[in-house]
Amino acid sequence: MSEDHHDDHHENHDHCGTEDHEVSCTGRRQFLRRSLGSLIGLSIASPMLGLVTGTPQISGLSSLWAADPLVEQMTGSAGVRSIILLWMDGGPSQTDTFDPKPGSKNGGAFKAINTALPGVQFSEHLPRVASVADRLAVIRSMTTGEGNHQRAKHYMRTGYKPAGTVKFPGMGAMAAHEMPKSELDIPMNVSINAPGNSAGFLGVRYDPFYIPDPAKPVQNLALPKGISEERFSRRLLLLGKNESRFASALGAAGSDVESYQRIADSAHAFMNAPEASAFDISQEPKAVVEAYGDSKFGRGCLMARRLVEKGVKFVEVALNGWDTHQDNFTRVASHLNAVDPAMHALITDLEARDLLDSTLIIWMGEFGRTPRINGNDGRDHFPGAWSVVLAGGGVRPGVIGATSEDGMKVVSQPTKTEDLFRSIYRQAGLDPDKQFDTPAGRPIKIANGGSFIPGLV
Amino acid sequence: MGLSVAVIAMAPTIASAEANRLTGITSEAIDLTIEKSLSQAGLKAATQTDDSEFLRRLSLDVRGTIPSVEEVIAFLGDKSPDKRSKVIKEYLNDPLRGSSWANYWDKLLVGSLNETIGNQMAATRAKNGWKEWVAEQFNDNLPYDQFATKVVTAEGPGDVAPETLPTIRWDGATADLTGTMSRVFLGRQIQCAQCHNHPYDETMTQQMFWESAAFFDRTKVIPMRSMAGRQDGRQVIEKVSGETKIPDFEPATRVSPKWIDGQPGPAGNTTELREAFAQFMTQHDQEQFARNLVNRMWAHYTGRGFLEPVDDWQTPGIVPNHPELLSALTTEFIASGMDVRHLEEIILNSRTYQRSSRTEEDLTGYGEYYPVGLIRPLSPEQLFASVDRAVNLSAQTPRNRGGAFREQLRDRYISQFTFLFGNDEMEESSDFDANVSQALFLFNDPTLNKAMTESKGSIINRVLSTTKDPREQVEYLYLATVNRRPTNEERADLATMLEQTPEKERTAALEDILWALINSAEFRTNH
Repeated sequence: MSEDHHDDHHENHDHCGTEDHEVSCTGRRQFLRRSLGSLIGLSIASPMLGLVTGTPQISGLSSLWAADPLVEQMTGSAGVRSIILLWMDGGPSQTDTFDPKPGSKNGGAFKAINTALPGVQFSEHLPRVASVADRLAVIRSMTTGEGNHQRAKHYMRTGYKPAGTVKFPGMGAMAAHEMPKSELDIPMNVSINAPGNSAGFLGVRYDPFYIPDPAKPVQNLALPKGISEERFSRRLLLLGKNESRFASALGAAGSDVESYQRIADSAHAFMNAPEASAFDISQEPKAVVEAYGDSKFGRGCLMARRLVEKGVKFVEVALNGWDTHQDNFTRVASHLNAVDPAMHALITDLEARDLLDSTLIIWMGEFGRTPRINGNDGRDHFPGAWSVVLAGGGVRPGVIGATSEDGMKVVSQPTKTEDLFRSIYRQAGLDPDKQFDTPAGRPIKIANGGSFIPGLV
Repeated sequence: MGLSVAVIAMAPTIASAEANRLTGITSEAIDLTIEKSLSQAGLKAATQTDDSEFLRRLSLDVRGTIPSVEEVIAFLGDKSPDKRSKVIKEYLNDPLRGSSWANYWDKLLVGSLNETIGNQMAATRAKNGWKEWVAEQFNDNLPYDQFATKVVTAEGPGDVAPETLPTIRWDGATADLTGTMSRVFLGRQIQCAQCHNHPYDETMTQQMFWESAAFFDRTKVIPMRSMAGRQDGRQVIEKVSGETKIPDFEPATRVSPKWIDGQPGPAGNTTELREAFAQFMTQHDQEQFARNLVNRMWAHYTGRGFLEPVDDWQTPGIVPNHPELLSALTTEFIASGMDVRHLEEIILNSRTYQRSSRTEEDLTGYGEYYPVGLIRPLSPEQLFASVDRAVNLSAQTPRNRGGAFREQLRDRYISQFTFLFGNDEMEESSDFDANVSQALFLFNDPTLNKAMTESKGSIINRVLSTTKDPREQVEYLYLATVNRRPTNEERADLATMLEQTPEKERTAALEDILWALINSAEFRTNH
């Protein structure tokens, strides 16, 4: 870097900490252009909305794992049906949340409080979450090497570093694609408050369904004013004729446009699905809405609970604004004001409904923040030693790994992104080593190596 | 042919097509080459597009929007044998072509703006200004090397010098800026070598990457402060001095600007490192610079580059198809003074470009022979422009509001399209899979629906006032949306449906026919 460069926003620091890339850095061209039929063993009809022909995959895979001793350890879960990702965009500070350093000069403005886990403390701004800490697995030893927002987000949301040509699917798309489907007409992959990650080579139909504001009704789900059900039926009939005429006029290339018809069917089914009411949080009692807190994040968490109750496979709820290079403490306190009630309500609510074991909750961002406080009362990017928190889904409560007293490095059980993804996918019933054949001919596994995190289940 | 010497000597700043006929590569030459390899492979090419298919494709590819009803009727009725090359010339000189290129370069060089550019409104303003600037360069047919140079060396305040946006959007991240310029203008993916030697190209080391980055390392993006002390946008400056070190490298290593072939750049104090980069790019490395554009342009129009992926000349083992054709086009392009419009004209007049997408043969896997026209999704900007042209969406903005409000509403609508129908990759989309949000939008969006009803200025209104004959009404709707006449079957089917509908429900039936056309794959794709 230039020596006269002081800009804290410069994103090239902490970028290059990792040793090996398994994937090449070639062009950025998207490869999956033609039909998705080349992807192995997957249902074709409206998989996005859970209408499938194939049988669930879990049973077929268990025989593969029987030989692996670690698998014994991993099969603690009764079967995860859904994943909820609480995405803290910008890189949440671990020192000010789940790995406080009260004795150190890096400790910062917040105090630490005791939690339901003996000997374990969290930030004072997480009192409610602290009271349910005995449902959490707190991984304090994440060390992931990518300190550039774009690269790190890709890494922590797909399990792979960006590698040019290949368009890796986000966790949600992978879950929607792989987890046993339910017979539902609502989307299996939902992203609240942020658009979420594309489904990459799995195909646009697995893209998350975006809810920009959980307080508002789903856009365009209802017929427009003046259009009756009858008229809409006629419209669909006319559309169907257009599609089949066009496909037949195209001849051999007709299969390219089949997806449009399938998606139209899915969209129509969604419009009429009784489960679509899950997207309407106004149906909840006032007390429940209040428990989740008056924030977009809180309302998003409530919607997530409603969605997993119906069987939605993956829901992401985003909270933006964690990139606190300046004014870290005011801003983090404000964010925790939203996270604390919401996360607490989500966990206890799911537990009360007997859904906590079958719902894996993940709280994380793209990296942590420097223990050292900078000149703007802020903390900068820090992928070297940070925290990810899991709840539900059969995880074993407790702390995994540890950082040094000053927070600067991991001193026990360093955990890489690949380890986290392998563990998450395995817990959700996926085979982490299953391969997809992308049309370029490069086989891509669900998880990019890594090891199961010891002590997680 | 008597033009020769004098014209070459002029070395025109705005190149003229006439001068360039001298070098000789023609559309016919393209076709002879492609058809020879097709025949050697034992492949039969698809037929040529019919007039409707051709006009629609050409209009979308060059102008970013479908043709109007009047344009289609005029073209279909034109009996002249050279009508296709005439309309190619016409569209190449249409100002909409500039806007179409603006969207293309914006996607590559800017993409979706990050948070540093400010709030949504500021970002939209910045983007619009930049796109207008790009459109101007292409409508004026500025030689391509000058366009690229302007972008690479851009400096000053963002609102005064819109060409700074590709630099501003990286906000000082030198590695990303360097990587983008290299990828877009040279087709080389060097950013993989930021943290380590390039994983597959042994000739590209980490040090070499940072020697390239050194050309950009003194370029800074700084906030501008208004009188009130608020941050009011950004500006680009290039500092006169500063050292570049390879980050996280043992032992600590300083590097000086150096081209990837080892040629050293300027040493010491200067504010013209990016000027130097631009010169290296357009002269020292001219062949690569030019063929990268030729390849990109070929990919843009035919759907498949000679080299795929188009920005990966770096990886050994990835080679272009028809290298001699690519080379000949590159030579022509350079000789013409990097005249973009001239190159487009040659490509668009070829039979290869005009090949139909309809075929009974399964030609999957034979893409590099160009046997058939490819089906591609419309970009969000193309889809918006086409929907607007088809149903007059713009008429839906409330008329008692001023032009600025209409612009804002339009921008918001476009960004909705961009969000729903685009992707966040900084490359042209080739993915035409649909998704549920898109389908729901086209199904039920209230504004779009209103535009498809009988309201003042709407297309239904236009149809009703043009003719009472159901057959003609159906024809009008087809011409306006899918830009062709209905087949006899379609016309008969729909006219019968209209005739059998009670009088008072007939308008609703017309609206439904229109709806089914707008929602169709035929409307939503470029085929």
